[in-house]
Amino acid sequence: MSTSSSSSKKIVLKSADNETFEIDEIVALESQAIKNMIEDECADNVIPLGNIDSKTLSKIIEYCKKHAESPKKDDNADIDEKAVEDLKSFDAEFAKVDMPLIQDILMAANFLNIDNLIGLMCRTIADRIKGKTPEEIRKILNINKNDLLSPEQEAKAREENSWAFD
Amino acid sequence: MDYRHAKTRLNVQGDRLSNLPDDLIHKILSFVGIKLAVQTSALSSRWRSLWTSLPCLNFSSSDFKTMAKFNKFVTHVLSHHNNQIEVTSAKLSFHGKVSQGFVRRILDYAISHNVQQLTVSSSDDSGTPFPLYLFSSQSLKCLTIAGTGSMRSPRFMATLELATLTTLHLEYITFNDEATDKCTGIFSKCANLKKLVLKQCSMNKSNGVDICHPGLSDLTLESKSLYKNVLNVVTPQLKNLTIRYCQEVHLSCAPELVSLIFEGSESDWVQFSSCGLRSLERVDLCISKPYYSDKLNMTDAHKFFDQLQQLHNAKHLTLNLQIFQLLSELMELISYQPSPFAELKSLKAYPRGAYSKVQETIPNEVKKYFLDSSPSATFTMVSCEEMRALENATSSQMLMAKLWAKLEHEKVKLETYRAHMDRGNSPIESYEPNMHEQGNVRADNMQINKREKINEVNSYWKDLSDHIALGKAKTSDIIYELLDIKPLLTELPASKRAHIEASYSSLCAVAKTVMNEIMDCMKIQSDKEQSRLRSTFMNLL
Repeated sequence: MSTSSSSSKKIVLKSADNETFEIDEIVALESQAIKNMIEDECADNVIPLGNIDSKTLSKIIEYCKKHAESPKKDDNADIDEKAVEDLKSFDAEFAKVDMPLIQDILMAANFLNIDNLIGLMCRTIADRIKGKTPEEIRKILNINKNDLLSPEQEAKAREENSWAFD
Repeated sequence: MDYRHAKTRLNVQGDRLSNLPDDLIHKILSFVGIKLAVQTSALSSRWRSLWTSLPCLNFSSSDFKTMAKFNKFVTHVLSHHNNQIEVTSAKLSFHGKVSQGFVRRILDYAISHNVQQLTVSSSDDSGTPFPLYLFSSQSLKCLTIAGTGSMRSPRFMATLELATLTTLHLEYITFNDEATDKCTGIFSKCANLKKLVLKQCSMNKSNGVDICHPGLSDLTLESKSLYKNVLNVVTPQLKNLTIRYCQEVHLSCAPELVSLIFEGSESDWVQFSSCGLRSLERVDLCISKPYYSDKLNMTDAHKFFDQLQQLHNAKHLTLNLQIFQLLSELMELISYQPSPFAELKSLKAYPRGAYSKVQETIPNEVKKYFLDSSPSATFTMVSCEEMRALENATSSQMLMAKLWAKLEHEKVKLETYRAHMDRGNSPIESYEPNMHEQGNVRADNMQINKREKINEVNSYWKDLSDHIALGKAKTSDIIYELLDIKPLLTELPASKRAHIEASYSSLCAVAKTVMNEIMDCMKIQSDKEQSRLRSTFMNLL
């Protein structure tokens, strides 16, 4: 368990809009993809993330920082409960953002391979579409209008799966 | 994953989700239940057949009005599901009567598709037998079977043969020891079993139950008086043991035990063999008096004290205040006893229940008994007040999360409604109270007699009042929930106060917006009814 100290190794991430973020290596290691790069020694000083914008990246770094700093399980049982509780409320708070950002974070987390964050975003999306009608879900997820089924196709989809629509 | 080649920007405008790989969308769908997952087939062509390759099949009868509909749904899902896809996890929960054949169809499908996690649970209270049969699988890792108290519990007649199983969770199961000796055989062919949870299970013979397993590392026993017999635990690899309300547990062999959690009355207290608990780290004990007696039974108290000595290697002790109270009854015994806890690093005392009537002071002798041999150990005490603050924090956060979800839901509904109205459509169902056969009653018929005219006028008035009633119900619901949360905020732990108060006020702000929106919608509806009424009056006079 290491918190940010000035002596630890730094990694610089560069977002698509050319903003740079200097973070502790331990924070970067939350990303399995970056971890692999570092282990394979194919990471330069600056890691360009050409498909993640700075808004998304700063959210992701916020998440990784918190999770890297939180004591890991089986360190000490007493701290455990509090830390788990603390992390839970952090996650709940973290997920209170609008749907486009959630989707950006999910895609970036998938690219960076941050397992916990992928799970958190998937659960958040699931919670928001639970109990909603297809029309509402389309709106919530902003489903591509060009990809919509024609009225006939949609009727067919509903007809085929009618046993799920009542 | 090579980041150098990932040139495409992920942040395409609009529909980001549909660009995700299937497995991520499956992950989302696994959280929403399979009924909604199937419904997503109508979203767009991308989603058209995504559900058919779902690796998690989560069937719940609560999504359906009748068992017949549920049955039909399951049949369709199983026949449309992609046969090439492995089922990693399958769940079946049902309320109501199902046949064994029905359960078997789902289980067979899952097992033949290499299921790893399987859960069958019932919330049925009709007293029908649990439709369980014994099966074998070469892939199953986690199995949960849960009946309910009011149904005839399923019986395990023979040995489970699940070689790959690592976690087994059973609730309300009766073990039948006809074939095996004291039921030790039931788990013996689950060679890889690591974690076993037995809740409210019982034994149909009375000569005691042995739980013997060479590899088991986690054991949870929970029962409210269902085990009428002695439970003997022989588990050389056991690391974590949790016991809640079980009578007469004998821990015969568990030299590797690291953590012990006990909850129950002092008369239920565990009997440790003298094999020694060398590796003990964490002990968490919570004693409550049996409901039928107020008075402390001195024999039980002595027994408790004797066995407590066996835990002398513990490093972290968490005890409820009732235990200190019990020990203060044995003051004479304790003051002559040197403290056996030589390894202690921390001792924590807390009240069981924030409103319990328990002395919040610990006699010095009792404290010394725990701490004297470990001068560096820390001692913390949680007061009833702090406990209340913690409980308030948890419940207020839970209630707020619930209300957030409700408001979100209402917002989406209002938005859809607005969009619908903007397109000049007539009101949709969700914001429209039941209209009374509009077409017939309101037909502009020259032959309408007096009675029908009056009925028409009345029905408009009724709709108007229904709109108001609906709006009233929705807003007062929100207000009630907010008022439920508010008193919890008076007593909060200092560390969480600012955070919880901030989220409460933002919740209030959103609630206000939503309630205003509801009022606006109500107004639109009312105006509509009013103009209908006006034009009816005009026509009449």
